[in-house]
Amino acid sequence: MIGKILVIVTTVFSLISMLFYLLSYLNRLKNITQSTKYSNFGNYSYTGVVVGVLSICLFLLSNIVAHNFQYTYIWEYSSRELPVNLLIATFYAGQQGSILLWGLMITLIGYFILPYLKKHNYEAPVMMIYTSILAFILIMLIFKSPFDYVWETYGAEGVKEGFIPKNGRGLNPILQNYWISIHPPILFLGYSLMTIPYVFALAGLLLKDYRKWITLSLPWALFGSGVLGLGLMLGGFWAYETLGWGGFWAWDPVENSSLMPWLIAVSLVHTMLVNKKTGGLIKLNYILASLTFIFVLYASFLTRSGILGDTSVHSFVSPGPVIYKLLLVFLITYFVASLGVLIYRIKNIPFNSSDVEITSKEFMMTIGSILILGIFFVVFMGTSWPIITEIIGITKSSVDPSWYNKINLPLAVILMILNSFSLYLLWKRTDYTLFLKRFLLIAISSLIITVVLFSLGVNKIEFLLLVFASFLGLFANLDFLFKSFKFGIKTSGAFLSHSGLALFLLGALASGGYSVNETVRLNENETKSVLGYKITHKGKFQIDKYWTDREKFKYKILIEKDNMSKMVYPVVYFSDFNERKSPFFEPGIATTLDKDIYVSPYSLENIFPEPPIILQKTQSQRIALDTNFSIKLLKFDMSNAMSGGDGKTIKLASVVRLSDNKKYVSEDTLYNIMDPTSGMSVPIWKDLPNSNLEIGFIRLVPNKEELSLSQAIFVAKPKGQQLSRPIETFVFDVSTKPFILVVWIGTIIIVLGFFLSILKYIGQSYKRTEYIDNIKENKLAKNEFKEAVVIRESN
Amino acid sequence: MNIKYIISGTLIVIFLGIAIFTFDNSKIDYSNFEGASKTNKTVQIIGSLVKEKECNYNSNDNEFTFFMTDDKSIEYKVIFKGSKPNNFDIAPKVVVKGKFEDNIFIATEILTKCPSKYEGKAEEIIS
Repeated sequence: MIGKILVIVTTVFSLISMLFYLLSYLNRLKNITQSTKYSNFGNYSYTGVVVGVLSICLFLLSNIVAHNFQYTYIWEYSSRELPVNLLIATFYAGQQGSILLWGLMITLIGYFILPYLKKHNYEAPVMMIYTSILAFILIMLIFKSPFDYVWETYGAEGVKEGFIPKNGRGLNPILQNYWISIHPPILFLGYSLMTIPYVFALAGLLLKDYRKWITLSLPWALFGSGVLGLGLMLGGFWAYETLGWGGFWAWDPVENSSLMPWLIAVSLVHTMLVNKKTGGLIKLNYILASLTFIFVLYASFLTRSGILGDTSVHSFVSPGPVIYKLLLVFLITYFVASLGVLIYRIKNIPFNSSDVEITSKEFMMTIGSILILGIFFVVFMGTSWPIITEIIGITKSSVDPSWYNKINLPLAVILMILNSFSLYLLWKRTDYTLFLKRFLLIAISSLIITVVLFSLGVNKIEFLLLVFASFLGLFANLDFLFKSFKFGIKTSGAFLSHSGLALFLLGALASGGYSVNETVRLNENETKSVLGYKITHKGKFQIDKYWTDREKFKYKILIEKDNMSKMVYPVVYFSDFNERKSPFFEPGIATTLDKDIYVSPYSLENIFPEPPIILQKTQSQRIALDTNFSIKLLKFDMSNAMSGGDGKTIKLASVVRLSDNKKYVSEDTLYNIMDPTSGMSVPIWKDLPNSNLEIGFIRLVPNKEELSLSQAIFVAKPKGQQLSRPIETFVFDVSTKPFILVVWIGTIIIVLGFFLSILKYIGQSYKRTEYIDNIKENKLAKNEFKEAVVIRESN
Repeated sequence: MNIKYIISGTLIVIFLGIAIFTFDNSKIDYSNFEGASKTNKTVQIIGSLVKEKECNYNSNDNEFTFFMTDDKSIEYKVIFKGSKPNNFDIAPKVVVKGKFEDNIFIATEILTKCPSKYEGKAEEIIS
């Protein structure tokens, strides 16, 4: 009750805050004192929202930690066995909790940004929209509450009111690692930060302030892109390192959903920079700022509604029709709002008829932004295609993931070439001498490397183009990176990110385009030659033995070649989470500087040398080891059950008919001594006449629903021999990932570059004259002066 | 100013053209066995495993053979050039990508849906 009341109260506060801010905005010209008063009330109400959301979160968290399983959400996602860090992560393991996390982050960011808004007179128009977004999220929490009781959710199936389950279902085993504490919160922070450019865009247009909103929200767009980029990178690394999917990106709908807003945000950052320098692209900036947030909503819709369930390997849990509709309404509302404000102000927006040449930096950057949007469009089309086919009524289809790489490769090539080009250009004009000398040097170096790689075997034209373009981008950005160090590390951000991007592309090309793989089947102590390596199965050992809900094994796989010898430990485990019906896997990875060797478990197969014979009453089967014989189960005999002698064991008996081709027939009783406490079942073996086999009743498999359908398991084996354990064949995939280290290094550098750029805006001292003064004082040579101007202007 | 728009516009049109052309060749239709038998293109079929029939892996040929029914409950034999996928026996639905060759459906890819075991069930609470 308390939880639900808190949610409703907080929702009311956010609506009140929204109303006050709306009133403040409407009165901003007519009655300034009144407008300020309304803003203050809005502010107080917002404080109420902050307190409210924090209380809801604390309430949920305290109930999780206290193991109060009467709450359905807590029962579904946590259990007593979880260590503290995983227990806290169950907060956002399900729909309701992750919506709450999203709301929490937006609330806190809003609180943090208030002084900034007040300083620049943007409080009322921004907050009225911002609080409406919060209200939407809170309303979703009312309909999909983390505080439902188990008897409310499962009442129809017979759960009585007041019933408190002793333990929860537990967290999905594949989420039980440190990644779940890192990846989702960062991703949600990134999503939440993308709200800011949106609200600034709409507020700016409403205030008829067409440039300032861009300057004000640029640092936030950068911050959001950096954080979301980090989240994406961590997701890729998680997929590769723990989930064993063999790669870091599969173009899966869930992955693509979070990529889309990021691509728009990156494009937005570039158009914002163009506007800062030249005043142009106001409409494009508005549209991109709106779309960034709208595609966060679209991503929420795609992943939460279950609409793409058939086309993705991610397990989608349908949230129910109410949430589906709410998400759709959420999406449509803010799309319409953004469109509405644009139409409202479109006549008023100044059109910048600039004297900018085609060969200028501004134009190149704009084309670059459009190309990034091209990549976004590719991802959008591919991901949404199944939905689109249903809407327009043609045959439903989905696009093969290879298409994304096919079409994105040429775009990446053009982008990298354009980027290196544009670095040497100046805003609005070009100095050709500087441009020609430096750029030519870099182009020739890249060409040389490309030719070298061609001679080493890279012979696909599209790969060669990507290599050339990436090295071009790398060298150009490194060139400017080192030059920019003279002016302080804060100016280096963009060059760092672009260098990182070039490295990422090279690494992705190597690890994706030149990866080879083979499926291997090995028994213990067996060796096979795979992909030029000697692979040996060195057995397995159990880990996590103290956990009673699982059976987890590490397999020892030895990989040898020439001087190299590495042991990897892929993991196979059975969990109560799915009643141990099929195993979960983790990969074993051997990392070297020039490649990873990736061992990914595929399946386990058990082969019985003496195959078990499983029979129900009246069923019969031939004995595999001597097909002359067949055995038929006539009935079970429990009459001597308690006469095991020591009072602890039960004597089970099955009455069978043994027959052979020579018309020998006998009816016999096969006994099995079972110890109910240990579960051990020991057969008493009986010789089969005229053969070297003996037969035994191994186990009884009772059928709880229909006793007469219970089964008996028999095994025939050579006399005197021990009963062999089944031979387990480990089936796994071995692949090489050349230079994948370069992918990780590249993505880390991209993210570093973003955060470095943000540093520049903290403190907010736009002292552009500072650099010129330094230069004049140091009396730099003419060329260096020109370079200095170029670097200064590119920031 | 005008030429900038012309350049941007041309770029966009060229790009869209290439994108749509390659897209058309890369998309894989959802279909059933009847639809698959009428075309030479690779299709994807959602269906269920027929548990009563043969379902085994031949390690000599690296072939996994099984029977499945599609959305029209038509049953066909499917051969996949690879080992039996994990989860196969318990997956409620299976998606195969491939095409027909002499009345046998040759699958190049098998996707098993994770069963909705990740949803809670009332029986689990009570027990």
